[in-house]
Amino acid sequence: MSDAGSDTPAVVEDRTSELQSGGIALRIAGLHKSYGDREVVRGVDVEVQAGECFGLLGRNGAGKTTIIEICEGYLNRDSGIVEVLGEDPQSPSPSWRSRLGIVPQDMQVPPSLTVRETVRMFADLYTHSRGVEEVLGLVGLEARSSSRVGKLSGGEKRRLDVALGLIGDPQIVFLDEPTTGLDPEARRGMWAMIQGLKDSGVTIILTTHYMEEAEVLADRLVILAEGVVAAEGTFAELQDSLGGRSTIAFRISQDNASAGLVPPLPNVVVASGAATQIESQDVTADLMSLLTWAKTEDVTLGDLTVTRESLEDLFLSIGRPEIDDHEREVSR
Amino acid sequence: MSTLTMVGSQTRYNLIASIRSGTSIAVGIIMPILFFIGASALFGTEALGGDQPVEVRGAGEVADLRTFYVGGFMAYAIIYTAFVTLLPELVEARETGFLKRLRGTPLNLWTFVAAKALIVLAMCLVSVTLILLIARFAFGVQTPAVALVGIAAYLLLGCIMFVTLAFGATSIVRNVSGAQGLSNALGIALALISGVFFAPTLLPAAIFDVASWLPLQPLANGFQALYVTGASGVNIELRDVGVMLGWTVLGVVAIAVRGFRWQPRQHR
Repeated sequence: MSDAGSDTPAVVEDRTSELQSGGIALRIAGLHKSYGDREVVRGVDVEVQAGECFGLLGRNGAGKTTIIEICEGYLNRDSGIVEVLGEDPQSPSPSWRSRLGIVPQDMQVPPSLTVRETVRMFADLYTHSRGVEEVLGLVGLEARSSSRVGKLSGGEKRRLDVALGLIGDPQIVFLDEPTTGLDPEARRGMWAMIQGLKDSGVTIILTTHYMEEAEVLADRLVILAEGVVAAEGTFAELQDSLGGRSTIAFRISQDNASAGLVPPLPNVVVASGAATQIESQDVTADLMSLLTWAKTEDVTLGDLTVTRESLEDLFLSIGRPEIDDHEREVSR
Repeated sequence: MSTLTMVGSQTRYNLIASIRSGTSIAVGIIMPILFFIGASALFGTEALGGDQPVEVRGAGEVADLRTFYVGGFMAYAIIYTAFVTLLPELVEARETGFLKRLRGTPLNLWTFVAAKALIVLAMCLVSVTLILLIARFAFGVQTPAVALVGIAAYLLLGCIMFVTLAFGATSIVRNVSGAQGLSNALGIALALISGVFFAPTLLPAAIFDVASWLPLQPLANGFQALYVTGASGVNIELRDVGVMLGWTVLGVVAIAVRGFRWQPRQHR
């Protein structure tokens, strides 16, 4: 304590690293939730480290929004443990909400206010908010700051949603399907913005039904299906555990095809005419054999591609669209 | 951010949004004033007996119908701003998810109620002032200076009562059209039986007796009592104040018991 003066920068650094590497930002254990007699969350366990970008994937009705709204304090759970920033969202301390950033799916703000007025209005609700202009810059809405909210495009509206979620300088941000309904360009813009947010060290809980989005943004993810965790891990881990098959495709000349040349590999599943596909469990070894064969036989491999079976396909096979999130009983 | 600054900021931006959207000004200010002008010009004339004194319950008589209308339409303007437009506005904010979004911030219910009440108060102040000016310069109805104290007191009490009732009533309506239907029906029905458009002596006594226990009549009566012939001093009607306080307490209890719902009832 006596040499606190000289140590100040180091102390600050320590706290930052502790926040980023230590500490659990969100913990869910044995979570259950029913609407009437329909159980939409059936025993979910999730842990998210501080500073992580965590993806929650699932089809519509898989239970994503229910889980998120329980974490945000909007819904009461039936049973289980939920801790967000060390507190139970059902009985949080008064300051808890000021440490949360919520970017909801479908919530309007008054259309007659300008972008800047709206952000300022929300900034005034926090004791320590970020600067209005800073946040507008962060989400790329500086040029639109004097426009009425009602005049914004879908992508701009989403950016405003994010701005309102960030204005209170939160420790954890819930992004609920941030790119649903956006065109591809706006989606990429949003991804870049979320990437920037990740780099700043904020914990992010991202729900999405776009596999590609989870691949780009999430450090770790779970796939929910019918209210339970169907798979969990990093994107690569999920890909390995769920499948890991790749397809090697190429085309040989008509002459070679007529000559009946077939590569000496076990899983040549399609060999119709000149176009050939090989299902491969070990791409490196199979490619090696294929190239050796091509060289020996003097075959030219046209349009050679290697594609990994997309996680999206597997994801779709997991999440059957049975439970839909329609009527919902909502807490106050 | 202190609570006071938060109330100030909420008031400011909700007021801007309200003014720009225009509905609350049209329904809460312009319409009551047009009705006031129309009623005074049409029925306040000598030909239709508008120059005869009109009885004010428990207080005496006002000089003529035009004088009676001043008090009645101040009350009418207040119920239209503080209840008839506020209730659907709150329900719309709830059903579009704006309230849910506010709920995700450190904002608490009473800060929000206070901001809404301040906006209502500001708008009612405008309509009451306009009614007083129009009464004075277009219809020659003088407002005694001492009556301004009473007008201010009833204005404040009336706004608080109807704002708490509007918040309380949000729990019984599911959607915006339901809220509009309910608030307009109540607004018109109450105005008809509370001595706003015509003298209470024209109503069956039983109906007027019931009305005197409902929220609008005591407010109208309180205003009208300030204009009775021979009135002196501030002249507050305690029974009217008591009934209004009762309704205010009921509104607060409704919010406390039924809870104020921040989240949409209808899943969109």
